[in-house]
Amino acid sequence: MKQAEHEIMSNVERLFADKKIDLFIGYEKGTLPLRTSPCFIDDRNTVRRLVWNSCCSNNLAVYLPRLMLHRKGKNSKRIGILCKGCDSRSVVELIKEKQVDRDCLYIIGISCSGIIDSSKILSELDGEGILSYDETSDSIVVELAEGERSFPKHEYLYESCCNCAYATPTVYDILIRTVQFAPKVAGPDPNITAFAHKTREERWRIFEEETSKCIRCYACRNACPNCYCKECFAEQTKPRWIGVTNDRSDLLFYHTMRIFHQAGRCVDCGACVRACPMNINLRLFTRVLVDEVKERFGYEPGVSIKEPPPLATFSLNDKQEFMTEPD
Amino acid sequence: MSNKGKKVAVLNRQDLTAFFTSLSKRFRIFGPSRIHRVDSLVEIASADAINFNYRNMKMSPKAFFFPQTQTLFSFDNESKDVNTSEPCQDRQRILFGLRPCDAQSIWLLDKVFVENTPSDPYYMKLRTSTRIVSLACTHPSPTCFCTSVNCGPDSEIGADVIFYELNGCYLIKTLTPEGEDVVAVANDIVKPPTEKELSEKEDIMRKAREKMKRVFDLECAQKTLDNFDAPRWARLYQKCLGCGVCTYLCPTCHCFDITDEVVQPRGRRVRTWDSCMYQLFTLHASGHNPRPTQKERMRQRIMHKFSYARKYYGHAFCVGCGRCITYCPVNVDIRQFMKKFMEEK
Repeated sequence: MKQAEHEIMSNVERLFADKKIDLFIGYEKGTLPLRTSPCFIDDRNTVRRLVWNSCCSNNLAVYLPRLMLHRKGKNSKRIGILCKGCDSRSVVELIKEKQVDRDCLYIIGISCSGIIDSSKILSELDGEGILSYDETSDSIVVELAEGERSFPKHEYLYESCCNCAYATPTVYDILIRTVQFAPKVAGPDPNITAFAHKTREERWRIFEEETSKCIRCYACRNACPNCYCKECFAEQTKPRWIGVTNDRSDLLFYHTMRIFHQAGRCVDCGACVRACPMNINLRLFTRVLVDEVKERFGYEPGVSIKEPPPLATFSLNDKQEFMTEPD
Repeated sequence: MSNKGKKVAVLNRQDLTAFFTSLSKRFRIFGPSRIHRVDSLVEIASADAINFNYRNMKMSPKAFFFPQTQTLFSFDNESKDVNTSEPCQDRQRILFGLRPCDAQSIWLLDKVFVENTPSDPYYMKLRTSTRIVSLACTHPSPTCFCTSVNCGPDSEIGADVIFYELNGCYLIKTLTPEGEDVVAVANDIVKPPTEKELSEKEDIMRKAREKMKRVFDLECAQKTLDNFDAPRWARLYQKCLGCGVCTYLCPTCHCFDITDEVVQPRGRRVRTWDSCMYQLFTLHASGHNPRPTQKERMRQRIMHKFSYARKYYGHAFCVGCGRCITYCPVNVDIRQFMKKFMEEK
């Protein structure tokens, strides 16, 4: 970890020295235990703020579309960004959707061993104050008033990290390799498979139950790199697609629309779940779409810049068993 | 804190059940309870359901007076009927066990919805039928900073009654005439406090206050903040995603939107929470947006809390509950923000 952190810093320093970038987006130490915070470095003297550890949970690609809007045409320098596997896949999708220009980016890729869900650790400590924390190659060590406690990393990963197949970024200018602490089993997520195999009624019940917790704060939307619309359907007034209340129908409609807009685009980074203050398991629904798109179109978002998005192209081999003849 | 003019009594822990039983005959009681590992304020049937060991609830109590969605009136274009009658609060409510910060936040909201002219009838209806019983904090969370914003773990502002948890009993202080009704139901089971109990309470609260560091000074903060065009605004907002977590979980944020929902021939006018952190919050019909980027929105939120509110209402609209810190998806920490703001140029 420390080694990777040094490599990030020295690379960013060099990029500033060579005048290749004028902004770098990475992570800095958070103000709370087991948290980091996105940070924007605009000069080489503050590069030392950068950190890299198992708590770098945010998907930094979310900042790119808005930054690009303000830079168009007037800047020859690039934006540097630190990308884990999932962040890089988001960048690939943003490039394909013409929101981000590849030539404007300098991507420092970092192979990721999965991110720790700090809320799992904190709930086990039940509000007890963490004095400090550190991590070894395979566990998180927390110092409490009455001594140390160790948490094996692989038991406290975010769900989206448990079966991740893209720990290594799919696009980068330089890659920093880190040591994987546990061999990961890439593949279907058992929780998602179990959900997908439930009856339609049961799935609807779970969807209703989960979305009923929503407070319409739009954290899921704003944390998602895919949600860059200048005006979201959820707030549009002309035409007005949905109401602005937190009544059941508005909540169901908002989430249905948000989730369907992710079809063929979602990289399953889990940013929406991590951002949600109400612990809604949003990934349950988007991940099913990810699997369906893969099964139908053989497409996985964010893997290749060249491969056209499935909903923006067609192939004679596309499955179309859902097409019905008019009666 | 002086006890002068305020009635203080002691209730043994084993009498709590009896107290709640008689209380529930007159009031609907809402108290902190842990549901799906989240502490929430819910209607409770008996004292056993209350979780006294909670730090603070995820959602602030503001929705009890200022619901996220509230129908102001409904109408029918065919019959030309307008229905303004809201369902009445059938029984008096007690919000039991609010943390002192949350109780103080209701006192602040009262300044907006009750003390302003005209007052807000929808808020008033829910507010006047509710009494606040707070529970002093003995174990502040690492994100708490109430002592920096003129609040504290034993702040009595906004509460009708405050409970102090002592060893084996509760010290109950009645703060308002409305609070007297609450404590009156227990008149035969409470007893006057002993000197030992009073000093135990002082001791516990002193320890709680000591656990909290003062992170910034409101007076200094306001002076620095009033530099509206300070270049540091442009640096400190960058990571903000523009979601509404901080404002929706904040106990004092109270911005709302009013919309008409119409499916001809019927419709309703509804008031919903809104957030200054949203891009559309200030978007004009012309397409012009006076707060075009997150920088202006972040500045508005901070200035409203720590500068404008102090000018208009005499108090900062922040009680230091720390919800915005705990739940911000990108760890924007208002304490650190204020500190950095005062340090940087």
